[in-house]
Amino acid sequence: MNPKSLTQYSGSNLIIHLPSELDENTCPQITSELKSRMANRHPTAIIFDFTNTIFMDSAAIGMLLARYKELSLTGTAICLTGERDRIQRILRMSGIYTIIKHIDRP
Amino acid sequence: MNEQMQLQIQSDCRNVSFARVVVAAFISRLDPTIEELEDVKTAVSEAVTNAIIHGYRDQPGIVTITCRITEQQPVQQALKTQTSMPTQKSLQYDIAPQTRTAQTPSPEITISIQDTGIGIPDIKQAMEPMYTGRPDLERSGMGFSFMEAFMDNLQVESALGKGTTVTMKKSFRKEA
Repeated sequence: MNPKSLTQYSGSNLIIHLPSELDENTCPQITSELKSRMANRHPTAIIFDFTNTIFMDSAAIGMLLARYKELSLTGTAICLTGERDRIQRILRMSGIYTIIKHIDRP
Repeated sequence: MNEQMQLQIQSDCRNVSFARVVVAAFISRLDPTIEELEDVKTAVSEAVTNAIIHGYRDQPGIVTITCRITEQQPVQQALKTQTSMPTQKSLQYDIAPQTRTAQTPSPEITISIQDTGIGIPDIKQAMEPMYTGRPDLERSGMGFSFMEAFMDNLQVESALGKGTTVTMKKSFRKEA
């Protein structure tokens, strides 16, 4: 479980510090926190920070695709940062990088 | 030598990480690379998640995870062992460094994830990339694709109303 807050505004960008493991248990928690943080603010970009993430499965792909579909309508950009090799490999396999860009440290 | 373990968990998403860690701990005795270990963890995570959210549709149920280690004996070794039986001398020759590579058994793991849930109406469709049986959830439809990518072999058996068993194999190539 992740009792700490995962999200943080940096200017008009919303940064999500993803937990060490992304799966069907943790992804819905991240989504619900993200939604509550966006309820009364409209970020320019959402940055998914994978620095602490060592494990992910397809649940994380589902979460990123769902946010992409929602946010591409509102004009909010999505970026990924801090992915280690293993995480990059899975994201590349899934084709996520064709729609969501990697950025170096925000 | 063959070894086996079996784990039963309740169909709760909080148990998915427990299941993949247990399997990883069990197979770590084969001294896999970190990459191989992560591949297996991801594949187990996908199959167990499927059992919980598709097989049981979030209703209470039991997911059974069986993991078997099979040490495959290469043909060369069987032959060598036979010819080396008579004398101690040839036995020593057999464990010389140049023959060790060929003789090292290449272990294989077989993992099966079984539920007694609703079953899959159309396995071919379920295995298509990007297809999800739960459009109500934020699912990518890539679970089976990941299992296929990370394991050597994937088999899916399912019967409506009876449940689904996913069997995956992976061998660990031992390099000298």
